[in-house]
Amino acid sequence: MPVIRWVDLMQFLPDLLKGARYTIVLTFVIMAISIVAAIFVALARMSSFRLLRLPMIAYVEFIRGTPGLMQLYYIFYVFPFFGLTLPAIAAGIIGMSINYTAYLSEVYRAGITSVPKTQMEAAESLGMSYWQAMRLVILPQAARVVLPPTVNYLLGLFKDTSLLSVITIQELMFTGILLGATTYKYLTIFTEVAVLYFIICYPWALLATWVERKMKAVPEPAHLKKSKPFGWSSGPLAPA
Amino acid sequence: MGVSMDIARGEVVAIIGPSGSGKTTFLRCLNRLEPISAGEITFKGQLLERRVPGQPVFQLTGELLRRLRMDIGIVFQQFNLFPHLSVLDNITLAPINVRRVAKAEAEAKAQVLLAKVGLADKAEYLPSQLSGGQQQRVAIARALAMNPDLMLFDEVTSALDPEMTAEVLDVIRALANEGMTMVVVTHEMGFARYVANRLVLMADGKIVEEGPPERVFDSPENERTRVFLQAILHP
Repeated sequence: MPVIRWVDLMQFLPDLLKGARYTIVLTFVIMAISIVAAIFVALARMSSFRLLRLPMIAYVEFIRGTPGLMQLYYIFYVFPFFGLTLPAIAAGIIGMSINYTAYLSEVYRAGITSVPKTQMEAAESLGMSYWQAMRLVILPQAARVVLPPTVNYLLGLFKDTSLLSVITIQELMFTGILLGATTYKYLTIFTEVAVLYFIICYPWALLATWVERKMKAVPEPAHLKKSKPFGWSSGPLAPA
Repeated sequence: MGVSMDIARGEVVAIIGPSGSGKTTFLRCLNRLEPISAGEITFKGQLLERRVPGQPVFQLTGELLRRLRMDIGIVFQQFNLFPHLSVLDNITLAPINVRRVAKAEAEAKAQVLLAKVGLADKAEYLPSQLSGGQQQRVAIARALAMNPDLMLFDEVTSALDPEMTAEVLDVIRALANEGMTMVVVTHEMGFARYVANRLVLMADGKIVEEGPPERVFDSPENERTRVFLQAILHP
């Protein structure tokens, strides 16, 4: 009967925690880059200048049509053939950022186009320029639509950093594989890795759910606010 | 060709007609929300658009169009308020960002306008918390906040029930009595008759008849007018 020994768990913990720290830091760095870059890509994708729009379409479609793993391999192993040799961390961050920016830009684009055209008409009729209207009217509304799927995508990013293990970045997965290769205690190690990933990801998943709920909330019409009937403020049948 | 009119300052022009007659399209051409296919539009001496054979095509764009739009206010059938902003912010957004008015001044003016349309205590509400009639009155205040020379109303009461319609029409009538130049596309015949200086009937993209409201209602010259009025006034 395979057994997990406490002493083994403790032995591997320091290294795995170091790997976990890499995972978290890498995730937030890639997140920060992608969230911002995707705005520019989305706006460029919707631009009326073909010179701006077409390359962006090509870029996004290429990223969407190829595996992220392959993209990482390309940047780390193939680019040196063209004279560009990047250190592993740089290649990893750049590669994943390029990947996530593409996907997030599509989320943003869908959010922006979901804002009714009449909002732009109203803004422009008041004398606002296209960019003023975007900044003050369209993008704030798009942000509400875009927030839940974005947070969900970023939840995936925490786990996708495990792909960086194949280009020798010592995040959590890599550390686990390395320890396993030298000690063969796979059961202990990967169970511990799984638990650590879960501890890292679950709070973010809770955040994602909270954001979704918050965005759905519709402000109560002030003149319809009712006081709760006596005895109904709690319990399974109480108003939500 | 199809439509031709001059509108003097202080005039209230009501445009009526069957659906699809081009009333809304015509109105939207006036602030270049729609392009024209032929003809010429001039506002306060500034050419907006010209497509006349034998002359270079001209259309106002960019900065100049923006400036011109500051002087023309439009109120839409579906209100089109900015849902993420309070009523006060809806009204002050353009004055602050386009006319570069100071925030305090813009908010003071906004409160005056809100009082004028009967919503003085609703400044901090969100549009979703207001009824349709209230939202439309906020939309009117929002357009007025830019001090326009001309106000365009695009069937602004068509989405409202009769009670809310009345409250909105009251605001528009008060505005007319103050001398605002207006073009009002409407189905409200009572309003057209008693508030407008000039009544225009459009059908199939053309002006069919034009004149003082009482004259058009009581003794229409055109058969098409007669048919329309028959259907509207005696269903």
